[in-house]
Amino acid sequence: MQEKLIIKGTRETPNIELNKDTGLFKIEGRSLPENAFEFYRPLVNWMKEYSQEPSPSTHLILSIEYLNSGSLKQIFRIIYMLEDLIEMGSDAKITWKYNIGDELMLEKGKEFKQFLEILIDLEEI
Amino acid sequence: MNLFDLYSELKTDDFCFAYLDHFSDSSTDALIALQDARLADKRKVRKKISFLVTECFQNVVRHTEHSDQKLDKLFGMRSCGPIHSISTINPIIKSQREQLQNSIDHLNELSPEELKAVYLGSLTGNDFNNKGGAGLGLIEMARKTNRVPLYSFDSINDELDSFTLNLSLSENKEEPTKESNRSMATFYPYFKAENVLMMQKGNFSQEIVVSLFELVENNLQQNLATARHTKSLYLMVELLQNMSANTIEIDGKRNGIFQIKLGPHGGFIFQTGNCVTNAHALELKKYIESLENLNKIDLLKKYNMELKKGLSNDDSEHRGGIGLLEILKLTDGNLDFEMTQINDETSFVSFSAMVKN
Repeated sequence: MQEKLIIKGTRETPNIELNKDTGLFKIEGRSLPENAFEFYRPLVNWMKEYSQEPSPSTHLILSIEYLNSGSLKQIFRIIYMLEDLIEMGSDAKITWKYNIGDELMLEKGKEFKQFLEILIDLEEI
Repeated sequence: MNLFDLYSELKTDDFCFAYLDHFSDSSTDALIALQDARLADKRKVRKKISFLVTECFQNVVRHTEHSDQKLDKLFGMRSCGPIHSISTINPIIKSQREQLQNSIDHLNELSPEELKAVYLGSLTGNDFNNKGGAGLGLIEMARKTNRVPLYSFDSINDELDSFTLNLSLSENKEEPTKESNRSMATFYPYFKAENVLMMQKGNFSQEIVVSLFELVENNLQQNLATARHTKSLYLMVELLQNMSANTIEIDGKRNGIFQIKLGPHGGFIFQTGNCVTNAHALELKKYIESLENLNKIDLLKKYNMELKKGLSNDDSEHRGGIGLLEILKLTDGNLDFEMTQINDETSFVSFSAMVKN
């Protein structure tokens, strides 16, 4: 598998950086693709391979400025995959960054905390 | 006039746009991006239109006098086949009226060669208008469109007039007729009465949705606190992408209408309207009614379930599912859905939504 997955951000899609060696994953920027399932497919596929031989600890940093519901669903899916890593004995956590005063992203972070078992740190920036 | 009435009035137009609030230079880039997206396959005219959009929009930004009236300005566009029109309305001081009138009337008397000479003269500072800008702008408008703009004045009060300028541009030799030369200014009284801040009718491709998002983002960032503007933008994107995904596609165009109105307590009402099959409209109605009957806890459970649907490999975006749930959660009762049957096959469906405080 590729050591790194890098997808450069556009005016409607986020910057994505996944590093197998360090276990550091970043998704940053706007996520408004028309078909989020297709957009996130390479990331999901990369993570499927990664989960065969993951880094001892995985840290996903999400710093999303704006998103649509399709993206939210795919991000949920990605986090769910990280939960599977924990079940398989690996460490994984999420840092959910949101802009100061951004109630929407804070609410979304809280909802994910409520629905999922994985450690999600909400961090105001 | 409701959204369906407006849609029907504008039915034969390919593209209509009206912008009534927050005129600033920072909106120009997003307006140009919108032209690039909608005229992607019309390279030749796109450049001209982008130039005229910038010129007309910035004219309003620079040459508007302050008035106490709400929504005292308009930037509007209509495109129908090869004919495009751009309209602006803005308050001016009454004393400027005569000078403006003379400037435009004088252009009417010139041959194309004379117009060119006046243009070159104005570039070297021999301008009509000692305030700068408007003279050269008017000449450029006339040169780019091959015809002198139409204008009118309406009195606002003892000191101010409302100045309406209308440009029309033909992609070919076809002269705009009274029928084909449609001005958005005709709808100005409706926009004012209904507190419409922005309206767009036409194709809502993803590129157009993103350009519209950027235009509104720029506007909301300056008008609302962060909490309100991110929620409003989220709601807007959900409504637009929902419309774009569900509307009946004709010739590759996903037609619909979108409007932002000023709501109570400074909030914004977002409205979308588009055509779907009658069966789809009924399905949508039933689905919304079933969601509206859920209490907050059940709605959250349903939402969680919908999120989990995304976990399977073959779930390629169940459109309308999670999006409508998000819209309901955000609006918390401030959502209206209407359907109007057009004929045996098609209905017009519209959403009207406002972020709950």
